[in-house]
Amino acid sequence: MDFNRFLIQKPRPLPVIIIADTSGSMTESGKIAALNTALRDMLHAFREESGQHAEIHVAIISMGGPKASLPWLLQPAHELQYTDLTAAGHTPMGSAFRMLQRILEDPDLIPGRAYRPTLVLVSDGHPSYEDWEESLNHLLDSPRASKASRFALAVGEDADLDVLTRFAGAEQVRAAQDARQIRKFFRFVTMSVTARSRSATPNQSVTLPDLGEDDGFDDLE
Amino acid sequence: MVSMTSSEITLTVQGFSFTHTGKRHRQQGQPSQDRVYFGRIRGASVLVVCDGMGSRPLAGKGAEAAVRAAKQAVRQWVSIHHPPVGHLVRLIELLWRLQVLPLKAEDCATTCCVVVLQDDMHVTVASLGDATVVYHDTQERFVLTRPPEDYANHTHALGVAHHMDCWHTRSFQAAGPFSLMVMTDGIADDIKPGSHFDLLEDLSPWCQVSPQKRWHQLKGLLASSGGSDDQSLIYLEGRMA
Repeated sequence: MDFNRFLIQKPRPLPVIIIADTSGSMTESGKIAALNTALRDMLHAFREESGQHAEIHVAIISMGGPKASLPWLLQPAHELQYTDLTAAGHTPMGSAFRMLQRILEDPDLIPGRAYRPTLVLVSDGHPSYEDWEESLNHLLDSPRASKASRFALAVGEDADLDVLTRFAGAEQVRAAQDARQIRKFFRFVTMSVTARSRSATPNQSVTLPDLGEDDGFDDLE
Repeated sequence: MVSMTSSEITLTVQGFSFTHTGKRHRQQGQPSQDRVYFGRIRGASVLVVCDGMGSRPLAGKGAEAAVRAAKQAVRQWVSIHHPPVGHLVRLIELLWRLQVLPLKAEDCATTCCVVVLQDDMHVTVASLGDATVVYHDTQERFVLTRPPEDYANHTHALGVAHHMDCWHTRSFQAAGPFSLMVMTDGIADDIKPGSHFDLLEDLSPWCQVSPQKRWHQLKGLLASSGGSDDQSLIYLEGRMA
């Protein structure tokens, strides 16, 4: 008797979806370079995970131009071939939220056996189009998005904290003024995801640390 | 194999239970947090599968208490002719709260799934959480599982705030030969979509295998799944004469 024909033999997916602002303003003050470095570090750490209990899957939604794009569809982190994001154009947040909702609700991408996804919104500015609010409301009303872990990072002084707070909740929004804090934020995301992938309880919630405090993340090279 | 006789029919049932500590708990030196019961109470065949929530410190005790509560509840409930399934659910909820005292209910959170087959072929299913029930007879065929929008290990449970309508219930008359299985998410989440009834069919021959041999062989077969949770399953089949 062979049960293999009934059973899925892959580890359960642990999805991480990054919604990255790649609008023109991200070229200022080295923000896009810092984001690229932070994402590379994160993906490197994810690839190191054995995937024995859960397999980390990553998608990156890019917000730059008239519409959001999906340079990397949700896929195992060890298969994702990252090339640097470039920054240009507007911030189509509404389009990005709709794309995120489509991914979350696609059972082929995120089956019921997947662990609760981690959603990370990074932005340095305001949404460029008025459709963001309706799209965000739709997203947050959807059962799958409302159950996901959501974090947000405001990059620089001009980020729209109201939008980020509505996305993630006040407790899960942090502000980064420089490249070091961007990397620190993503180190936390990386640590929380990798800890979950090894944990007996991969759906445990975590709270972001204060990026201004010396919490030892900088020593984790 | 057990025969149950009512005034009109003789029902013959057979089945087995299987439970095994998952990879993750074995590696961490922790016991399984699943608890199962498969037996007879006042003439009814009773299946109980409880899965303690891994995030709670006393989940194993909660699952044990849920099995005891379910058995006590069924004992009272089947003594009346076909009472509403809502009464069974309320009894389980209350008895579980009493069973876990003096511990905090939230520390003991657990799912709970109960199936009762009475000798007149009446089947009752009550499930809170992410257990999966697969049922097949000549007229009825269903998979009762958690909503598709949920994620793994994200579930309603005793000890977690919920409404009574979070319980999934079914109550119906079995028609002809039937088979059913109840599984924790440690097995159910790794079943390929559309394969539930094929698996149900393949479990029937295991009724004839000795318990020890069956446990070892099923453990090996289920080890190929991608999950690392505790794995529990109860299978039951029956026919009328």
